[in-house]
Amino acid sequence: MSPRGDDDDGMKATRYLHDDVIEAIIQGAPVHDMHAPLVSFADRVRALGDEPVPAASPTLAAVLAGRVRLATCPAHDGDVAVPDVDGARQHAGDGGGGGALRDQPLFTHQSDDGFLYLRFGDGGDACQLIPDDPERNRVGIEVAGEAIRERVTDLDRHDAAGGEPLGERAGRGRLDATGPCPAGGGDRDAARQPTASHRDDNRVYLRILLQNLQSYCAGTGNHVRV
Amino acid sequence: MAGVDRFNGEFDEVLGAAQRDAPWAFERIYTALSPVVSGYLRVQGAREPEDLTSEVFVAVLRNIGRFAGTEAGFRSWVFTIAHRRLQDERRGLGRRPSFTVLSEAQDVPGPEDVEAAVERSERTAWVRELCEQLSPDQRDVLLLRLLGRLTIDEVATTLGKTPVAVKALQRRGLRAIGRILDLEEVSL
Repeated sequence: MSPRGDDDDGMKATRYLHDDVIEAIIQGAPVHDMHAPLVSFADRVRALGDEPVPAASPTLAAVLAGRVRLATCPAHDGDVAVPDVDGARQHAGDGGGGGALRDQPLFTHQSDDGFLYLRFGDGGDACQLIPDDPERNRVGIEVAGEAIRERVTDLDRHDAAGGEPLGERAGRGRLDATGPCPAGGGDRDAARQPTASHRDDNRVYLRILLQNLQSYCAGTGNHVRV
Repeated sequence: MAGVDRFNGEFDEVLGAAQRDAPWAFERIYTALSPVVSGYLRVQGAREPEDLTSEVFVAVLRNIGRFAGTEAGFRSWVFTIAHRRLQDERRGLGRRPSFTVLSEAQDVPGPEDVEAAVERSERTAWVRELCEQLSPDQRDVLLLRLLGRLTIDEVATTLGKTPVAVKALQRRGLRAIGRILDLEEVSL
């Protein structure tokens, strides 16, 4: 307590923060005027939550617009391990509470009917591209009017290093365009994927692949990205 | 508490529809909670708050089928994901050192009204400047309580601390803010 007394103007309100006062400030309930600076701070922090809705990323925008579904995709024989993305596989397997990179796609699979799935590190969830979406076809620039299989194949046109279509490469178990096909063209074991010497190239390729996939998912975001 | 119900009393319907993959429900959830999540990430100094917000909501929507509970519980769950995403980003930055300090991180105005964008930027900067002077734990607690509207127990769960510890951090944080504001007042 101030030697000059409780009612002295010079008393600092923050020295006497009781639990009920703290809770009132947090909740935005009325408190004594001497707590006005803290009330002002609390009000301004709360006001940050009343600001405009932020722009969604292309992937999220596609989900919100119903152009991409987040669905369950069971493990498939044709799954291809995505090359190591900043240690994604190690983090995904640790089961830790931090959730580091658990949302990184670890496997990709192209189904016979032209769907492309991305499976994530924390289970069987997948990003499923819906192939027949007239709106997206209208909005898309380079991919307008193409079927999804053609669009996936079209990724190779953007890949300077690629000599064969992604679908063919994926079907044989590798995503890198130039490296040798491991274990006779169909090895699905992530542990036996290309060695460290290929990883940097793979990372670059994977990023290009995912960026392109995002563009195709995005619809209205395509023109921005392109 | 004003502003807590961001679903106009329709949370159960929205959640049920979202769990049946209804895009309109996804939109409602994003519209309702993305501003607070974005504000939290911005004040916490996230490098790309909007991108990180989108990542948070992709994770939320991917896992929404597993959620069961009330709106308050849902908000707490969303902020838990946001907080962990923030930690992931900081760990990532730790591996790849950055030369951008918190106070230098810029908010780039969007296509909205410029005056409003400037006002928003100044308000965020003021809050962020104050929060930078708190310990990370104090900052987490105050922002989750004020912006996330989480209870003491929910904050404790999110941060992996005891409710007693959270109350102590909250008290110290507010006292620190009060001292800073008192000093500002004197210096004026």
